Amino acid sequence: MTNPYENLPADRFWRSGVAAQTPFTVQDIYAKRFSLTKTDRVAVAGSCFAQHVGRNLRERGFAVVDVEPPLAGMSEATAHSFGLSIYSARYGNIYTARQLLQLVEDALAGTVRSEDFFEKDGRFYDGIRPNIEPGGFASLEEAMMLRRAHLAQVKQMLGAMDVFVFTFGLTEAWRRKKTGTIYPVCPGVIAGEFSDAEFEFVNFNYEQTKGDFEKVMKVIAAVNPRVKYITTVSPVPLTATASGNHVLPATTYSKSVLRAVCGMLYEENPQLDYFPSYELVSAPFTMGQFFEKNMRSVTPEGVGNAMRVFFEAHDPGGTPKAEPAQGAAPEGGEDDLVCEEILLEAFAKD
Amino acid sequence: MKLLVLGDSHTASIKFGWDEIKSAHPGKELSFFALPGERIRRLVVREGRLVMSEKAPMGNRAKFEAEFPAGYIDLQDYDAVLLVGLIENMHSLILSNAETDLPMQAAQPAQSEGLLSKLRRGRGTAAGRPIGTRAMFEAAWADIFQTSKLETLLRRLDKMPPTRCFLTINPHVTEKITSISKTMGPAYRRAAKEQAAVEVLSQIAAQGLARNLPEGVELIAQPEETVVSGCMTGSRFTSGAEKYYGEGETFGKKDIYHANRAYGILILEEFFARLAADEGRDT
Repeated sequence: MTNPYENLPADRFWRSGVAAQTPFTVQDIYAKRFSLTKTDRVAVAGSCFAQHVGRNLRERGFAVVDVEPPLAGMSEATAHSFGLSIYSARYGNIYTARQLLQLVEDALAGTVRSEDFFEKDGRFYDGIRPNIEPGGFASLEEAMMLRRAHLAQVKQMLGAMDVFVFTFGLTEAWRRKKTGTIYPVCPGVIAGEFSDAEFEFVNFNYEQTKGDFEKVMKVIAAVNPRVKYITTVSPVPLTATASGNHVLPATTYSKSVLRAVCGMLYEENPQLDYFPSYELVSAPFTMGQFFEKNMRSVTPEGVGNAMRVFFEAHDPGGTPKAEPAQGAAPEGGEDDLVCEEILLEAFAKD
Repeated sequence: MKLLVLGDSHTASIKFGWDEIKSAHPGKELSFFALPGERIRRLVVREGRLVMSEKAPMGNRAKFEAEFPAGYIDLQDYDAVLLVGLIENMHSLILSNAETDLPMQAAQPAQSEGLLSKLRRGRGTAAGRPIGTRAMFEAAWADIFQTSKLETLLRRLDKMPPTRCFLTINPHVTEKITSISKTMGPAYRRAAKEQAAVEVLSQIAAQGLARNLPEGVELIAQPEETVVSGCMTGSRFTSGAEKYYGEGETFGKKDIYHANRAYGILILEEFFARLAADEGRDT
């Protein structure tokens, strides 16, 4: 051997591995670290893009844990509007590793803080999951009680799951100065009032994000040591940034941090896998075809292709249980998602 | 007076109830048509008349033509129509409210809108006790209505010339459910003990139905004397429930949904009383 590149397979070279491929023909981009089986109890969480993962797993017949199932007779659309059956519990979108850590710690300790609920027009909203009750709760007491019940369910989920699939979405978040509580949406966007004195912007860096996820794994291991992880990074760019930078470099920074964190977590944790949904949707060989006209929302084809690669590894030969009706619009686009981050768009000046 | 009774399998209690009492009502002529399960959706509107869809199986069409040899129902031939069954009462809401150890009363803070404990076992866990708001239950009920046979039939009737229309929905499930159903019995046993929650669910179902009924459709509620614990039908009104096309065959001991002819008689008496009251008003 004259050098280490000499006998490498084709997929290790850009020309053969990427330039000569299309997103639909690319080979060996994902080598699973462990097999996901249909008897594994899979819990799903993360940013909006994670909703696609959960739905596709369900459609393929995987045992996706649902500790807060919809009421009998409820349509899927209604269930989703109440934050039900989107993820494995009614926690809504979890954009940052810190928010996930907060959820896990709150669930195990049963912590509910009254200051995390915001009032608007006489209704009460859970600031940590602001999109789960259309119209808000009737009272603070009711909202807190439901959060307590929710956390009890999350605790059950943490103990019951075999595999935890988490999609990293953002590094930017809003934090209550006094308590350090992270909110998925800036207070004031859905409910409550923003105050500089109470809240601050935070952009988690590599060390913080990695450290937070490591703490998540440690806390979960204490109640459920057998859990394996599949991590992904959402390819969806930021709707808006409060970092003071242009939204494009802010997005690149955010996604770079998340991707690097996933890379190192993968290196250091044999029970953790990384699935390259970020690369499959946004890498140069896609020529931007997997983004809608707004260059942000992922097209159903983009979602479908990423899921195809995932299931070729984990469910070869399997097919979704329910095929879309003929003539029906393909599912999987942004319109199918419940995503409060998009609300920031409304604040953009044309 | 010509009256039309139209519905699903629940129409049997009315039909056989009528057999019992028709001799006492010489001035009334009742016509019946029913198809069990979802099949009543095959009744469609053509040129202002109800007909069986061309896509309906031969058997369904034969049943229709046996009752209506002209091959259609013209509502203008009748003084009133009674729709029967077509939507559950609060069965799904009761089931959704089952299996938790969280007492419903304790789950209703003083200033809430009637928070309800949702007792279903969460999938993938040993035992779950998620709870939901009144708004959640209302939304579930709205979905139940939107997918019901009743919604389909009302939408079709809306395309026809207006006629006097009454509705009596499915009776509550039999009180025997607590002993004969391993899966649903616990939900009803619990409901029987928690009447405040049943009352809230009952309001949600009633208000949800009222909101969705077109103007002019008059609701005939389940007679109070047939209701047990606010959410079940007394076995006196379910035992021996007959099948519409069963030629005397009953639904059997494991049936939880259907009422018998004694129940049907009570509905008919209320139906006739409403018509008589209106006749009185007209004169």
